[in-house]
Amino acid sequence: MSAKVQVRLPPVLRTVMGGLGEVEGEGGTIGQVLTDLAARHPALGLHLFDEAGSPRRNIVCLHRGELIRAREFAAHTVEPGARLVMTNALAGG
Amino acid sequence: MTVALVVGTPKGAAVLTSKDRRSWDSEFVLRGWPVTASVADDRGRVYAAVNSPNYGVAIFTSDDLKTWTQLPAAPRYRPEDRGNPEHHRIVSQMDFGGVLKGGGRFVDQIWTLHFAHGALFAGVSEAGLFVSRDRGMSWQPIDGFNEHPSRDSWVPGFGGLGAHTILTDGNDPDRMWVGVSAAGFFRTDDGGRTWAPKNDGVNGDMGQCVHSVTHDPKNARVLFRQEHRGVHRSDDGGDTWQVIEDGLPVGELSDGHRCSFGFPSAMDRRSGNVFVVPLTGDNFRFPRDGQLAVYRTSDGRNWEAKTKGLPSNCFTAVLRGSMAADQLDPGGVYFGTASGAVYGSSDCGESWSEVASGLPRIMSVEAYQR
Repeated sequence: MSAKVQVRLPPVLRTVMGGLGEVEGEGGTIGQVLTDLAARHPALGLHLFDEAGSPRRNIVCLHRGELIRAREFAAHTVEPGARLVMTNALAGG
Repeated sequence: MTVALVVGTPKGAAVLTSKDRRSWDSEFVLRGWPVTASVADDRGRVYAAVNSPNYGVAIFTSDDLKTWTQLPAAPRYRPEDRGNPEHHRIVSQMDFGGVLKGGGRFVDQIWTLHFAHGALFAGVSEAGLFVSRDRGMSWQPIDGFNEHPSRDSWVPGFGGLGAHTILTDGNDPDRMWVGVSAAGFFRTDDGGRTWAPKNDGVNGDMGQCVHSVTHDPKNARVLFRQEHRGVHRSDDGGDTWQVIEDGLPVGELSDGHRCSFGFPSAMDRRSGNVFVVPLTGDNFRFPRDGQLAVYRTSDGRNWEAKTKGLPSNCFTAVLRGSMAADQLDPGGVYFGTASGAVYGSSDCGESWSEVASGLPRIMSVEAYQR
């Protein structure tokens, strides 16, 4: 089922969207939502998917308090009206 | 005339502007993005390359150096392109998710941007060359270079396998040069279809590791090359090279070879003066005895140290993309250090002053007339 989902962007990606902190995408899974966002906003899409078409591996999303990793995006379903918080995996000290 | 410096760092870019080249205003833009290179097109629009270990490579543009907009496209390899395992090993420390294990070839950094003959060029790592003929809205790989018959034998340098230098001939759009660490220097004479290595006369006992090359596109046969293994000149478009180190500090490399080691080079095209910043060999990589010094040649063969205004007890370095000339009269020359200071000269290198400090490690410096 396809549904509208709000996605909160990490601060560095807001510069790509002219300062917009939250964008709307559609899809029944996180993978579909990100694919929809990339189609709507090609500049943002560069940062979501690599050359092989895979979600960038350091991106993670918080959905209903659960941390979803890139390898789980394709299968993880989201409900209509869901809010995702996009961030990057912890790295470094 | 206003001079604007775009100074790339791992945390954004400092835009330094001055009307008199003595007092400078500063803004810090593209915050959060590592800015690795910039270039201006023939309309004065500036393009800045960014990369992020989390979010990849992209290019932002600005007409006023204040407001930046990201282009919808960037250089990218095809999914079927195969990567260099040694390059993967070097850059894998930032591959948190293990994407490199798939063996693909990825653009992990834009090392240089170049504008000539109405086209934008990007030199990237993993080493490759891309062109845009619509001002960055789309990019195409230059397969004659990217799939060069010798590619399988290319060996990465300390910073990976990167195409970091692009030069063009102002009179011949089909002639172009590209420098790759550590595969050497290449030239095409047929618009990028075929490329020939141009390293004859450069010491290659340990391979070819070109660090930077500078020239005047209007007199493109004369090239100045800072190689890992010394400073060289070519008078025939790179067909042959001669060592030109009279007056330069010469040190011992780790393998015993003696030469003048360093990274950046820049030319003031009005005077023909060329500038380099020697470092004490590949094991030390700081200015000799801690005296930061720019060396200048006026006759293209003999060098003299220029230290007035530059610090002593200074053990930083200047990276390959971190020196530029503004091409005004008299010539202005600028460089940034790995410890975040920018120095400038408005008298063609005779004297220097600090333009900015307190910046992150400086990865690129370009100078623009505005």
